[in-house]
Formats: sequence, C-alpha cells, structure tokens
Amino acid sequence: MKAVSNRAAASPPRAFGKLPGAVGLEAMLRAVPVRNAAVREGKRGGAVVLWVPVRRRWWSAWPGLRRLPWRGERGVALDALGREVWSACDGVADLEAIAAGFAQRHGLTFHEARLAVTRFLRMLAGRGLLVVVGRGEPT
Amino acid sequence: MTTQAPAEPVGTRRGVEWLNLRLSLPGDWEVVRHAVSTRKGALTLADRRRQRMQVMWTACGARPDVGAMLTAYRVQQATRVRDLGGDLLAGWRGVCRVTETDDGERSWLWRAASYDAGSRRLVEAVWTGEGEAAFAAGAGVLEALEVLGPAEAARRVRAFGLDVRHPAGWRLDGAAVRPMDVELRWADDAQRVVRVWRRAGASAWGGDDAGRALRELAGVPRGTALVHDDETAAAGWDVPGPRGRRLVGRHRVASASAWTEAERDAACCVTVEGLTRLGVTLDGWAVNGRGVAG
Repeated sequence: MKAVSNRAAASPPRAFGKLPGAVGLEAMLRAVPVRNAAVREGKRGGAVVLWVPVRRRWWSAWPGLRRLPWRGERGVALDALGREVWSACDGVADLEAIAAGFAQRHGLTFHEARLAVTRFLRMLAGRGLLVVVGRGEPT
Repeated sequence: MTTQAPAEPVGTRRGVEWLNLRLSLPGDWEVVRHAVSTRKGALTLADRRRQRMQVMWTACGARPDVGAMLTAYRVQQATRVRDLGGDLLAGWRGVCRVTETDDGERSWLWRAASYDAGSRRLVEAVWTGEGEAAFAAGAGVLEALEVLGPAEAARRVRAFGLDVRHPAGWRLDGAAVRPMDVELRWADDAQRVVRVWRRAGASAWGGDDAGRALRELAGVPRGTALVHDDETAAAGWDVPGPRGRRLVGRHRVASASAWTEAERDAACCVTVEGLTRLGVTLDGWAVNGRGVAG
C-alpha cells in the first residue's frame, strides 16, 4: 500500500497543469482515509474537537520561549457535517463509499458530495488528522 | 428529432431540463459542466468515473447540411471513422471513430447531430466508450432527448437539485454551481433580476431555520424584521427602498422568500429585485414544486 501524498493534498492547487504526483479520479475514489491513531476526540460546548499531537519546533527551545505555556496538541472543531464525514472514516470505507453515502443522506449528486468530502478530507490531512492511503490496481 | 418525452424519471433515470432541452439520463450520470448561452453551449455529462457524453447546441439561422458536416469530420479524422448512415437514430445522423492503441486496445467515439427547425438549433452529441454497451447508453439519451422550443423561450430549469418554473419573458442569465451551493439567476428586459439559491447541509449552518437561511443567502441586514409563515415554514423580507433613490433609478427594491427542505437537509431562497416597486413579485414562479409568491 502506498500513501497518496497528503503533502500534495495540503499544497494549494495550481491554475494550470497537474501537480507532480497528482492521482487520477479512479485511484482517488479507491483510496481509503485512515485516521491518525494519535488523535484524541474531545468535546467542547457540544462540538466535537479532535486533538492531534504537535511536534515541538526547533525555535521553541529558545530560553525565552520555554516559559510560554505549551499545550503539545492542536484542536480542530468539527461541525455536524464534519462529524459525519469523520465518523465514516473507519479505515475500511473508500472515498467513493464515503462520498456516495454523504450524497444519499443530503440529497446531493455524487460529484457534488465528492468535491465537498475530498476538500474536507484534504483539510484534515493537512492538519495531520488522517492520511489517505491508495490501494493497488484491482485484479 | 423530437420524440415523445418519457415519463418523469423515477429511480434509475434523472431528468434534466436546460434551455428548453429535456434529457433523461441514466441514474448515475449527472451534469458536471454547463453553459447559459442560448446561442452556443454544451452540457457535459459524467458518471462516477469519467466524462461520458457532451450535448451541444448552436443557434443556426438556416438549416445546416448535417451530412456535409459529418463528412468533413470524417475527412479530418482521416482514418478509422465509419459513417453510421443516414439514420443513427430517428432524426439523427452520426459517425463512429474507432481508435486502436499500440497495445491493441480499442476505444470508440460516436458523434451525432440533428437540426431542430422549431427552435432553429443544431444539437450535437459526442460520447465515448468501449463497445455496444457504451453506444447504447448514449443512444438512449439521444432517443429520449426532446427540444421543447427555442432556448430563449425556456420556462423551466431542472438541474443541480433545483426545479424552477417561471413565467415567460425571463432568460437564464447566470448559474454558479458549487458543491452543496447552487445559485441560478434570471433577468428580463425590465431590468428585474430573480435569484434562486439552494444550499445543502442546512442543519450544519443553521439553514434549518428559514429566517436564518434568508439572512444567510439573501444578505438581509441584521435587525431587519422578517415576515414568518408558519404554515409553509418560510420567511420573507420586503424592502421598498428610499423614495428619492428609487426615483433616480439608483436603488433596487427587493423581495425575498426562504424555506427549508427538511427531507433533503437543504435551504432554498428566492429573491427578486427591480428598479421600481411595481412588478417586483414572484407570481408565477415555482421552485421544487412550491409556488413562491413575493
């Protein structure tokens, strides 16, 4: 299994031409989002917050900055739609299944749901909450 | 070319009406690209995996020679293009191009055209695939395609989760289609503008409340009093505008109505604007089977 580069997913799209390493639609639909095992789920005021550990940067070791409070993790709050997509990322369902289920529940077309879901997953991948893993060619 | 339209598609067919073209698509096909020009444009249809078909229209003052067009295409392609004869389908002429790669894989491209005298439009279709099944899918769309009249006289738009019927005299002026957020715009010669929004995921952004949906979509200023209709779960907003600015034509009066579609978790909003209060109504407009009175 190879990981579809979430670094590529996090970088902004270019107006012309393909990003290096960009994947085709078929491969993207068969890819599976896998949650970061280190992510902790919490609640804050009724919203679900995902806490992901954050690595200390080299400049945080400076003497003046050491005294600043360091949480060690970063939180991402999810709305109702985000919770729904996050719940569907069980490490088994591929992007096509997640998008199709989202489309059915909200009365959307498949590509409408696909764009919304992949955009959201790209954001989560950029924040280290999950990674999208490509699957090999079907036999 | 016009054939009797099939019954309203249920289940495995999806009905689309756009600029007086009525199509019946397989259930997994959808419109992924569109154009609002009545003179020349195209609808691009795709299934989950790839683009399947493109339906194009061109306004023609006189009947074009469809046979000569297809012959010229055949000559241009030089090889492996087979004329499918005078009647690909009833009223359609077409050609088929077969391309073979070095690996021996073959792909088919069908191109068909037909002229509709009633609307004075040349309608063309291009679709690709492998083998007879792909041909049948595209041919099925063409068989059910119906040209209802001139593009300028269209009175219904059915696409992108919206089914909008309107009176005569309005032309589709713009369509902004974003994931879960669709806005269609009509204009008429009296400089009135009607906008129809549909935004999905209403429960997430508070659109399940009609008043909130109205403020969000129609841009109603905070503090403006809304009129609520509990029976229809709609909210309305009516702004006459300051008299002085209306007289010089600088201020547009507006009327708006919003409601929620709980079964589809979406909120819809319709606004109408005009230079004077007279005629700024939504009489005769219906969105998703619901009459909208402004």
